[in-house]
Amino acid sequence: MSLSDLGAILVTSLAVYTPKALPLVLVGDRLPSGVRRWLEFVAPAVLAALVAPSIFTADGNVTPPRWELLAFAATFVVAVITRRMLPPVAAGLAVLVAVVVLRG
Amino acid sequence: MKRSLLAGVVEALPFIPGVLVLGAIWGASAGPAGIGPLTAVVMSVIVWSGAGQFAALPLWRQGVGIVAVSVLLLSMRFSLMTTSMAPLLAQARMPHALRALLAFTITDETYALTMTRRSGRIDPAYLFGAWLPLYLPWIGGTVLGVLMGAQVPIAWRTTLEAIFPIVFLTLTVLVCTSTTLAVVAGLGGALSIVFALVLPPGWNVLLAGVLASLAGPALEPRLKRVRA
Repeated sequence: MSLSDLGAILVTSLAVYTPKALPLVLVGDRLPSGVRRWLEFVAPAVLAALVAPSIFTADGNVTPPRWELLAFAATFVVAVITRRMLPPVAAGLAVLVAVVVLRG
Repeated sequence: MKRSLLAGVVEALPFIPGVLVLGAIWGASAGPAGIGPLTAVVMSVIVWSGAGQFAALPLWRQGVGIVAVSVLLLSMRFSLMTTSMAPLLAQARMPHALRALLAFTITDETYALTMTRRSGRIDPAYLFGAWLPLYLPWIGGTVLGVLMGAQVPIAWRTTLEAIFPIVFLTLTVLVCTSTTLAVVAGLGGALSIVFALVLPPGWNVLLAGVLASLAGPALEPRLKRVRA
């Protein structure tokens, strides 16, 4: 590893770290109530925005129907019914394994 | 303190196989992209970003400027996440130095796990606990990939990578504790798919996250009226 490699790594790591750290350090708890209300909606918006493309798209294209979708469907249904963390993950993994085994 | 640390570790456990495999694939892809073995491992330790490191691969030979700009663009979504976390940390009266340290533990995964815990404030011990089962396998996977190449059969790979959506889907459902939150999530997911199809990589989560969350306060009174 050369010195220029190390420099590149440090610059790249700052590009990852700074967007995470700045709001955490700078944003306090004295926010206007409107902003506070907006922030309450960020988590569901971001989480859904992260997961939806990973289920329905790959490399900028819509993915064709595949068997893994059954595992995601099972996860979703069990999550809505139980509203707990472990059952939907277990159900999704079980269907995923079943799909892989049956498909051979 | 100890209990929430352990809870964080346990709830992040499902991610381990997927992180290991992705780390190994990254480690194995580094060499051909012109990144030496030690550099690859040090990157996983310091840069600590799956999406960022994979984005850096094809650009590495073109110099640090283009790498940093692409990685910064991909990382902008974290600002949206940590902005929504900041007031919760402030309520916990956390010193700034500790917040700066905690920023290193923020990933898509730890954010999802932390925001699903409805305690009204963020427990740093939980966040740290959830970070360990992600960070250590990421480094371990990178070492394996550098040493042995990613000898993971492709069928295995798609199966193990499907664990991420399974856990994220669960956490997305759990974070939707009201009708408005669920509608905002549906909007965020739909917008993100559209943006992923038409925009360059990196924009969809940030844009869909901002737009859908901004719709929240406007939608809430209407949805309440519908239900009443």
